[in-house]
Amino acid sequence: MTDDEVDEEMKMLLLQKDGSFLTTVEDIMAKEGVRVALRQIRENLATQKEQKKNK
Amino acid sequence: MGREKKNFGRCALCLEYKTLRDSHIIPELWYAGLYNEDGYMNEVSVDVSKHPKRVRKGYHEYLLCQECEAIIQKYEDEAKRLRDGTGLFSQDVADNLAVIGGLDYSRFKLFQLSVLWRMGVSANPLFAAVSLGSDEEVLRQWVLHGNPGEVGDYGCAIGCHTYKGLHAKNWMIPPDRQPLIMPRSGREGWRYITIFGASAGSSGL
Ligand SMILES: [Zn+2]
Repeated sequence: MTDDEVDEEMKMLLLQKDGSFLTTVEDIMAKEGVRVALRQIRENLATQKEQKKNK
Repeated sequence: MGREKKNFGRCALCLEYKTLRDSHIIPELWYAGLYNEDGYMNEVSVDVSKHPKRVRKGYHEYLLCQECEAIIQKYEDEAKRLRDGTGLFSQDVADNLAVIGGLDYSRFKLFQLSVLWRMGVSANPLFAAVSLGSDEEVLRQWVLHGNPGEVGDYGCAIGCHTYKGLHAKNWMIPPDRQPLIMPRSGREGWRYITIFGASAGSSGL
């Protein structure tokens, strides 16, 4: 997107010319996607361990 | 000699045929906290067919010549200031919202754009989500010639993640691409999100 295509409100969230930016501080576990991915990874590791054992 | 031959190729940034460096896609600096005491990090996947992998030196490939590495190094030095908090100020403006200031706009934005561009030109499947199309050439020129554009031109945002109250430094998530629609003008674009070094950076629009 070019500068004139970005809404002014959205521009406030971007890196500014004076070298400042607005940042959100967020707990990673508050993100649904991260929680789901971590659960999936844990399950995968358990499955892979089991497969290895049965070999 | 054999080794030199293998490293010879076309630099992705200046497009000249030169000896290429084994360039990092995400700067090595940001891997520091990821390695355990035995010197490796674990790559894990949500895909059960992919077994955990030990990664020793980040993700890198023969990409840039020495001169172009030096160009990108200048941008990375600015990012190092953010990582170390050197000469920066921070002001809380609300719960979970802060203003960070004191960066050099040009150098820091070019750092972000250079990571996005490197992911775009990388052959590593880990960065396959970044598909820049005709923007790849624009970004190559900007990174090469030091042009950061206006604030909204490939605008970049930065978020910060915590885990149990501490900065969540020791993880990295490959880039993800999402459609982006401006609420007011309805203009459509793409948003790239990648997470490393406790910051979600490089949201090129
Ligand atoms: Zn070059």
